[in-house]
Amino acid sequence: MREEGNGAPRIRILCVDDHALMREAITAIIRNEPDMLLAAEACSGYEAIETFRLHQPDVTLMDFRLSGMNGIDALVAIRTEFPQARVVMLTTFESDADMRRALEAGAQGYLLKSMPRKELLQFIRQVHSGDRS
Amino acid sequence: MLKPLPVIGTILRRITTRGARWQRVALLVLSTAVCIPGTLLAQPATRGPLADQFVRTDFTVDDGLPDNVVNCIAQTSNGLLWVGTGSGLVTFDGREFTRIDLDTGGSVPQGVVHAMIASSQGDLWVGTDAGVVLLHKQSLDRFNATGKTFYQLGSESDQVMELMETRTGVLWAGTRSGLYRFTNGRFVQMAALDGVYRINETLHGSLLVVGAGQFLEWDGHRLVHRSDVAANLGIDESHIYQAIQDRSGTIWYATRDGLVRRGAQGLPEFEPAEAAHTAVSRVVQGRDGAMWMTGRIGLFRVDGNHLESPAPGLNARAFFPASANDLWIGTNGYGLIHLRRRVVRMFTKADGLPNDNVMAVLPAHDGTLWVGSNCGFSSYDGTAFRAWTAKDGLRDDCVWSLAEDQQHDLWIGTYGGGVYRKHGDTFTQYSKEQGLPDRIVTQIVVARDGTLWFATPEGLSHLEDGHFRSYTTADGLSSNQVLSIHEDRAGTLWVATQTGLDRRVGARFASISAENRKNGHFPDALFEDANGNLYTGEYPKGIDMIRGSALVDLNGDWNAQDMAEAPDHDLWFSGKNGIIRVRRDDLSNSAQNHDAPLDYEIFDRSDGLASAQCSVGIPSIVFDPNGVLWIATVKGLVRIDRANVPRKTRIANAFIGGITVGNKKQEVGETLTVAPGTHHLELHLETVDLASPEKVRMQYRMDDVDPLWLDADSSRIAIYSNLPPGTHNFHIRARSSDGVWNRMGTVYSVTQEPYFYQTRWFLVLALTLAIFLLSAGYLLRMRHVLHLAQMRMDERMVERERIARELHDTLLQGVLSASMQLDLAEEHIPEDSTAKSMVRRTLKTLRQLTEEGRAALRGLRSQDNAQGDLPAALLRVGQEVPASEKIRFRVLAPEVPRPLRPQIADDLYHIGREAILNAFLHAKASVIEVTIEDAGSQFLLRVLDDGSGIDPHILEAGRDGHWGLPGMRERAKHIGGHLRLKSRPGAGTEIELTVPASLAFEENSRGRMFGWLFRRLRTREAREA
Repeated sequence: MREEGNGAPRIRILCVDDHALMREAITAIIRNEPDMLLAAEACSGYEAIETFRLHQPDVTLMDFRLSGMNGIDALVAIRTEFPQARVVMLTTFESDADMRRALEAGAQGYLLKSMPRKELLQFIRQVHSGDRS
Repeated sequence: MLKPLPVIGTILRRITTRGARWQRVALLVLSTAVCIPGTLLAQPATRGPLADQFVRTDFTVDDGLPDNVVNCIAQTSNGLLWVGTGSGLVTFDGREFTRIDLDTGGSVPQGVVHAMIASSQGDLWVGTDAGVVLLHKQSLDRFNATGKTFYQLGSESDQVMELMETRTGVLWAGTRSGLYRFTNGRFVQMAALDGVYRINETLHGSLLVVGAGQFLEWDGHRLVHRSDVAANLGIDESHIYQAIQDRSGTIWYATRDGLVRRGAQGLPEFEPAEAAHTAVSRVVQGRDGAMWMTGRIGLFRVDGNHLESPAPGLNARAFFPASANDLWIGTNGYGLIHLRRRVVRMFTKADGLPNDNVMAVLPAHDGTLWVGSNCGFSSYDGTAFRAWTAKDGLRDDCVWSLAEDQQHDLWIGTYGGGVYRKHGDTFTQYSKEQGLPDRIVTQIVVARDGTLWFATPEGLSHLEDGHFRSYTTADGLSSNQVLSIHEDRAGTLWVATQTGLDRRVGARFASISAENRKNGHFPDALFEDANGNLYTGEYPKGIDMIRGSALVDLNGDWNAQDMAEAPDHDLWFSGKNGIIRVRRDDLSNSAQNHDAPLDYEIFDRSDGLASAQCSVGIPSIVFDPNGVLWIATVKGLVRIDRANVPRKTRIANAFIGGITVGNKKQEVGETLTVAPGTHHLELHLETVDLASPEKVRMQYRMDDVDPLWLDADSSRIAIYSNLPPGTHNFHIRARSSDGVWNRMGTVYSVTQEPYFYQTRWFLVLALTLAIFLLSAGYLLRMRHVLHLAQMRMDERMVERERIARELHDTLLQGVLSASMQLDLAEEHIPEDSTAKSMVRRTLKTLRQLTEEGRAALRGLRSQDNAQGDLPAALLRVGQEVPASEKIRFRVLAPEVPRPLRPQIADDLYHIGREAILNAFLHAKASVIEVTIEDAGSQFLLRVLDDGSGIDPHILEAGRDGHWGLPGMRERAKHIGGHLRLKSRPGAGTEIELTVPASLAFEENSRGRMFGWLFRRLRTREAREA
């Protein structure tokens, strides 16, 4: 684990999204938070698994829709390998059923991409501190 | 002015020479004549010598006779004449001779026909030089005569000399070998003789037999030699050629020395002596009782003691008197001769007329008959003609018209000299100089008021009080060329001109019918009958009746130039093709019944006219006061005593005489069946009319083929090509020479066999096949259309997916990204900056945009909602609605649903959802029930509530507001379904969506054809009330 800033350990975040624009927005938000660190980015399910192995982030923000392997499958794969992994699903508009499936597969929670920035950051912190939504 | 009556004794003698019927009529006429002396009828009968009373027609080998030697003649009950010749047998129907083949299988060839008899059974027995041939009655109408039997009489070929039938119907034959009787189907020899030439039956049933040099009698048991007969007659036995007992009991002997009659009075002498004492070969009694003898110097009729020949110099070998008016004579080398009674008497130059071309004839009040010729003028007093010429003051004698005025002055219309008036013996001329419009006067009419009308080619002229007044086109006449004038009983003057038919109205003329020329026909003569019916004679032929201002076609057969009505109401017409007699009522009623044939008689050359053409002068046909008819013809003046032409009603017998199928003659059976594919069928129509075959007319009609009766042409062959399959009745009818139609006609059944493809079962088969093919085609087409619809739906899905992806992947992600970053940026903007509020507004807008994008995306992708479980999805709709606990909501669906097509499930969900929401939100219902049914051929979704219903106005106007009906309809239409909405205010709403199963369900789910029968509804209760 790396320490930065005021010495308190930062929350190391992996952002998985196949949209560069989205990753850019999330990166910008996280970079603005002193207690968070964008550990890595991935743009597909496979890459997410690889990157997770490499960086072992505290929180993974996983988009539902990915090209190739989808978000839930990637979640399941990661959770199988790293049962402690904390994953938050990002969604644009996914259905209740999908949400349920994600939660059943071990996701810590899910976030709407259109949520206000502060709620999003707050949720990441909650997940990191151990609370499930 | 008449000469004294001729010696009455002569008249009586002549009258007694005729048949009984003639006698009665003539005596009646005579008594009338005696009572009214000084009339034309007191003339001797129009008959001259017997020879002049017959019209003779000869038939020889040139006419189709096989031989000019004619040995015997007979007539069978069907009317056909049979002629036995030196070269075989022929039959004659009046038109043609048809050869009859007498040979039967195995018989000796038969050449000469010597004897013939038409039996009382209707069969024809023919005696030949080889034996006897029987032609059965049934085969006599068919000239191929298959029904024949040959009988050999002697041990070998035996020439038959005589055939006779007794009154009891026993047949006897005389041959070279003896006397034969027909018993039990064969000829049995009753006596062997060296030859039997004549057999005649006496009134008490014995037979008088003339053998070779012997005279014998068959007394019923045996043949007795009667040498006493010749001894009593004082002649040699071998000189008796025939003995015959007539119906009165008198026995007649034909002998070498002449005719001998043995009656109560002994043996009277006949005169003239030459005829009476020449060898007589045969004596015949006619049906009318008249006795005839044929001999070396000719044929004679016996009148008392007088012998008279109808055809002097004719050596008759065979003689057959069909009737008193109809004699057939077979000659030795001159063929067959037909003598017909002449019914008319012709007067020509030979009788003292100035010219044979008689134009007009007029009986005057004093009994004088005035005859105008072209040229010549004469009067007839019943005995002789007197000519009136320029010497008498008649300088122009080409007479075209005649009339007698009320003062009994005679008016003579001439060609070129105007009109002459004869007063006493003085002639006065009136022509153009006196005011006539022309020098040609074609008709003179004496009007009821005593004035006279004249027809000329330059106008109509009216003579009144000594003044001529002309009427021309200036007075309304359709043409100046006046053809005919008639004043009807009402006093109206009618005028036929070259271009129209006019009627006098006041002082002018008006055309009654603008269109009088139909098919080039136009009226050129006018007549009126005693009933007041007005007729027009049409040019070139036809008779019309004037009804109001229309001309009604009555008959198109003959030309009529003038008409006279007899006291018995027969109408007699003079025309270009002969003299016509027709019953008045038959003619006037014929307009009402067009297809019924009209009976009428024609008198022409076969009746003794020198020419059938009547003249164009007027009058050309008149009755004198005694009912004698006079007609002006181009070849003489004709006199007809109606007594000589009683109306005959002989009905023609029409039948099929021959059949040709393709180019092959075929036997005429009871019916005819024609093989399929026959393209040519000829039916030879036959009728027998020996009297005047040229007057016979035949018509035919094939049911189902001919809409009308057709006139047979002179070939008398009805030809059909490609008869429709089936059985048709072929009708024939004929008009005999007496003018009577055989209205019942004859029916012959003709069956055209069908090709297999023309049969009923084939039709049924073909129809079935056609229906099957159409159905199959329809199904294929349906499948194709459905396939297209599915393809379109699939494409639509793909397209929607693509749009959704685009929307999600680019636009929505971009907007989300932008709004996140803008949110971040907003934090860095100082609180007091004006930009801060602007950025916040932009953020808000972006969020709104995001929400809308999400909604749009949901719309595009929402099949996710229903895809898995439509009933469950619809059930969830109820949960969307707040405060719906009070409403009982349930969904009924099959327990094992057939999988729905994903493309369609979404639309089904949306339609159902809309309907459910409507029910929850607007209907104020207490129960909402959704039914999903798999009805085999279609999918059904029904949403039913018990609420307030939808206002009909909303339904009609389609004003939907929050009801979303158009959207539902559009969706339904889009997926190939049908939406039905039933609602009444207060009585709930029922919305029913049906979609064809093939569109609604997955393709591989098709196997369950009867699944719907066994389906069970699973009820999912949402909430219990």
